[in-house]
Amino acid sequence: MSRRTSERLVAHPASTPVITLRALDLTHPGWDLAMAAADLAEGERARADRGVAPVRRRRLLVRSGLRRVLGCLLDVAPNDVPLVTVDGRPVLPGSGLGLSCSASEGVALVAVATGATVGVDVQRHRDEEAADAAAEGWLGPAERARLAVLPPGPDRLRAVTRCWTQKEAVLKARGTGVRRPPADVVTPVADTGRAGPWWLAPVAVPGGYVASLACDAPLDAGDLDVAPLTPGGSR
Amino acid sequence: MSVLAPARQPVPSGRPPQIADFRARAEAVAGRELPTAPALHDWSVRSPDDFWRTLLTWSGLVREGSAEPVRTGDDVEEARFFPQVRLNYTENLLRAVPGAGDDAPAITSVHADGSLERLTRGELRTAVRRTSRALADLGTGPGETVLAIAPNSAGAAVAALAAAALGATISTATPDMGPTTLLGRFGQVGAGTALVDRAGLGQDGAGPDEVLATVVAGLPTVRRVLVLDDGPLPAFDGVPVARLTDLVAAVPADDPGPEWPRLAFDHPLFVMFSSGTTGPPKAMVHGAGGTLLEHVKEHRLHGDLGPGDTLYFHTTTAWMMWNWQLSALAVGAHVVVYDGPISGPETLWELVAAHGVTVFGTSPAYLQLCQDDGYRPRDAVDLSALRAVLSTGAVLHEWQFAWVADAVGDVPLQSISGGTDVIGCFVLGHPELPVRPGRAQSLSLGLDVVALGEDGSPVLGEVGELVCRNPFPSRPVRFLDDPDGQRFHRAYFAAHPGAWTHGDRIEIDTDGSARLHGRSDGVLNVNGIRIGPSEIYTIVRAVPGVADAMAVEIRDPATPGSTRLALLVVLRPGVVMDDALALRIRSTLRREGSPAHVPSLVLAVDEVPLTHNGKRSESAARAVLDGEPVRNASALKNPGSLEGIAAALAATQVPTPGTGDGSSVDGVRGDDVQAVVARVFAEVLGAPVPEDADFFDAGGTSRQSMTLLRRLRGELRRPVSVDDLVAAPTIGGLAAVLAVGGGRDVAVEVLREGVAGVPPLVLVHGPQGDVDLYRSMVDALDTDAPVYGLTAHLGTADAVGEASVAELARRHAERLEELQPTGPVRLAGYSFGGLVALEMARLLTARGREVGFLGLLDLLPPTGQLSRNAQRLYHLAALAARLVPGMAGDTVVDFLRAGPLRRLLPAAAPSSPDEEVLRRSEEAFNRHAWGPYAGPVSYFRARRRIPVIMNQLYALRRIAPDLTVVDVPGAHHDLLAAGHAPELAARVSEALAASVR
Repeated sequence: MSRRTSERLVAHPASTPVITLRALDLTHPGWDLAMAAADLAEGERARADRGVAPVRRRRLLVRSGLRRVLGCLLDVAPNDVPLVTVDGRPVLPGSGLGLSCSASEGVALVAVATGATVGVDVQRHRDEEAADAAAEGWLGPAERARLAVLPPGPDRLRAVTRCWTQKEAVLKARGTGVRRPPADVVTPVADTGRAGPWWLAPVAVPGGYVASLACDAPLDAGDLDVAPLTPGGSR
Repeated sequence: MSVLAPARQPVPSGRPPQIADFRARAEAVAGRELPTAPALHDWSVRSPDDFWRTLLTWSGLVREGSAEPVRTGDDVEEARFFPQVRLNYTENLLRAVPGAGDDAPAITSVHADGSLERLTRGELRTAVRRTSRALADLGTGPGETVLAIAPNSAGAAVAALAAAALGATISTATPDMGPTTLLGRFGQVGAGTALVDRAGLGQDGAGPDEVLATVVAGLPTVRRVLVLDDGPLPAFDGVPVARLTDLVAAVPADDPGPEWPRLAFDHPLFVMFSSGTTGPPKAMVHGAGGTLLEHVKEHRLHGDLGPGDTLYFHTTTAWMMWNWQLSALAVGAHVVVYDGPISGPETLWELVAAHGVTVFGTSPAYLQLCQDDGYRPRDAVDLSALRAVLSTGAVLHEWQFAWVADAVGDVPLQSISGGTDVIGCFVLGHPELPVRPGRAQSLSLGLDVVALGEDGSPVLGEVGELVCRNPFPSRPVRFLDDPDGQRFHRAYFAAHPGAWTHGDRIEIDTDGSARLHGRSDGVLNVNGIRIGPSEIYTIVRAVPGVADAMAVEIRDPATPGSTRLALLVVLRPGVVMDDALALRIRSTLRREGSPAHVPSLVLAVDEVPLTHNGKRSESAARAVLDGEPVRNASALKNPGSLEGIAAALAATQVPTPGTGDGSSVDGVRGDDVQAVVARVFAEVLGAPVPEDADFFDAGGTSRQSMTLLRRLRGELRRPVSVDDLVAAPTIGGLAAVLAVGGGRDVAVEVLREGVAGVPPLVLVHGPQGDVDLYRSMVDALDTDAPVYGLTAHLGTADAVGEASVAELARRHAERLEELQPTGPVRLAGYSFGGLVALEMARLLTARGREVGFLGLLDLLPPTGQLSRNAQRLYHLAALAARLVPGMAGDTVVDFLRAGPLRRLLPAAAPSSPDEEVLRRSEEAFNRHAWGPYAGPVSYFRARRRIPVIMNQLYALRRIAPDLTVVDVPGAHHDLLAAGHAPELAARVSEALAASVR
């Protein structure tokens, strides 16, 4: 049943990728964790259950959200989406879809791309955290140099968080996550640009957060549109 | 003698070279044919009276008096030329020359800011006439010496020509020489008038007027200062100051100017300086007639220079090439002068193109700079007017001829060489002869130049002492401060009686072509600039703590014919040579002398070698430093001094004992580690967590993992990697991993499994001691070889920041021998790792290991290996790079803190352990004295780089001559980034594969 839809999707290679981006407000009181857990496969639930309460909540809601988005595309129930986890990243075998999820405190993002590989990352911005970045070793020398020419202050600190999200987005797109030292991904220190073969674009998220998407195909300028994914939304 | 090779068509117009016309005149005088270049030269030295008389009459120079006698005798030391002839140098330079009338361009002065002045021959003559009136009104005339401190501009030329026109003697120098050097030179000349252009005179915080005050105060004979620049006039006690242009402006427009007297052929025209082995620089007086006739001979017969030509010879007023190029006015050529810096390889070529230069003179160093930078003049600018490139000042290598042919065009590259002492050349170009790569085409006409072998007889085809066996008109008239002529005699005539011994070593072939092989006396030739050791002693002895010093030019073993400056220093009792003192010595030499005075090597010794009669023996010291037997050891009063020199040299070549052996960092061990990890987890996560809780399950985000790792590194003073955390993300697990002693066990990391039996590629860690930076490249390598990484993590006994580069290399070499006891070694490293790899390759080769591959990824030279001036330029260029986003690695502020501008900045905040280790690595890097490596080196050069200054490839080429350069994408700091890694990996794979073929 899902096979037909998957084939239809891959048989239509997009010259420019079609990227579906959904944002979840994890703090929304309307989320039903039990319903979310019912969307998940056994292993996914087990992994979520290992986390402390906020981690469990995050894992359940994000994975459920991804399954809901894919279920819509495939026209199946979320729990029936043949989603697997390979090296920690979600994969829909045979679909040609690029999948990526990210969460930070109250915001989560789900990205699904046709005909492209994507990585997405959202990060709550904190000035003090950004100010420590130089000593953490994940900024490459080129990035430090580019940051140094920005005026000191909030803009520069926010640019540090932008770097982080771009780097994470690239690492997720590459499928390695932070298991690889992030210093070897050199980001442009700008909202858009390239990091090696990856195009980077900002994702519109609530104030206080920064989010970026990395894609192996060109992206249009400007923030990528994000539709909210709300409790009890379309199934 | 070889037959005359087919003559190259020297001028596009197709007119025969001027030497053909001269030959016809000479054949008429000789009564026989002189069909070849060697035949003409042979006649010129066998019939010197005929040659010089014919030259004088053929040249058309304006003169009075009989050309007889030509010479007063045959004695090279005593003979005077043309005692009956009277002439005026300036008159001859500015006279009407057929083909170069009053409207012909005479001089174009290009300034650093891009502005220029151009004077026709008529305008130049008027300017010089009016200026000579102004100077004559001040009393300038024969017998007075006028000194000029000025850059190479039209203003300096006009003033000098005006003073010379009046019969005054001229002595010139550049503003940037520093007060000590200026006084060392001008202190002897007794000048009454000082012409000064203050641009560039200020130095090391002292303003131009302050430096000028020092100079004027040190020259008591100066009774007037004439300022050539536009700045406010300075005031000096008892010495009036005026602006020359104001004085000239006051000369009535219709004033025909004073009479320019025609004076004796050997009337003193220039005082030039050349360094001897003892005492202050030799101040030598050159006569007007000898200078003029020699220059006209060289320009017309050897350079075929004439009306319609435009000459640019890159020089300063402190070098004899300034006088030489000025004289080109006498043959009707248009002279271009330039007072700006060389800001890139394009600077001089653009000047050549912009002004239609036909003959361009430069140095081997500049040509090498262009080559190393990949600059191709013929692709960048229009060189259609150019017909010859001249080079002098140092040895021109064979490959530079090929480069000129390829990158410049089908023009002859003419190597010329002579000296200030003769204000001309012994070997030159020749318009009728082919160019043989590496060689000067011809011996100077009229000069009986030969190479003398060990037994004192002439040799051909082998290196000998350059002597000139017959009198020549451009011999110095005399030395200053040498009333009995003894100094003059000792300088040139003592070594080989009856001949001028120049102090150069030369090899002459049967075809008359020649190649210079450096100095044969104690005079130092540093980058083409001759420096007397005594100049250096004078400066260094003033440094507190220094009792004595000896400067020696020693061979650079990596590059035949290339040398470097070594300084032996005897310290006062209780004083110890350390980095600070060595730095003080170098900076004092730079300030008081010049960049060329700064030694590459500073060695503290107990005594310098002295002969029994107390004479200092540079030759003995030089032999020891060059690793040669000391021939005159029995002549030494203190032969033990030689052992001291050898020991001091050896000490620079082995690692300093006592630093970094054993763990100098107190690591945190065992249970303490667990407590620290638990505390850091709690702090980062905001609450204590169980020992077995996964960091990520407990709420830790990947962003927080970075904070966690930083905190753990700081607390435990050891490396903690992402891999460690991923492998064991709990307190207990991570503590167990981190408690394992110091990381010594992981000093070799397997970056990639390969085929057993294939020699591994070993990569050397970066400045932080890890090999993470190579991962993207390693992933993309196309090779069967296993890839290992050598690490030196912080907190281990071998940590970067603790050990010197030499020490790291020694330990890694040992480790590599354990890892791979046999087979060819294949090494590579980026930047810091490259320097360590280079040193390892030297050590392993010395131990008899075959190093099959040495890959250096954009290794820049340690700044300690650059001259002080190069360091300064390097620093400024690197600063500029930091202002260009993406061009450089660290921040502007970090960089400024490390450089001369640091006092402008607030104190740095306390640095983190990571920053501290980086800083210490950088120090170790720059302190490292690299040595020669003869094996093949693959150099992977970042394509994006600040031109010229950041390109110090020539410095590397000097120590590693077998260098293959491969351009790779990116800039220095992001060469290894994931985006560039695939192409870099491809290039490295190719080089690796090529190395086994």
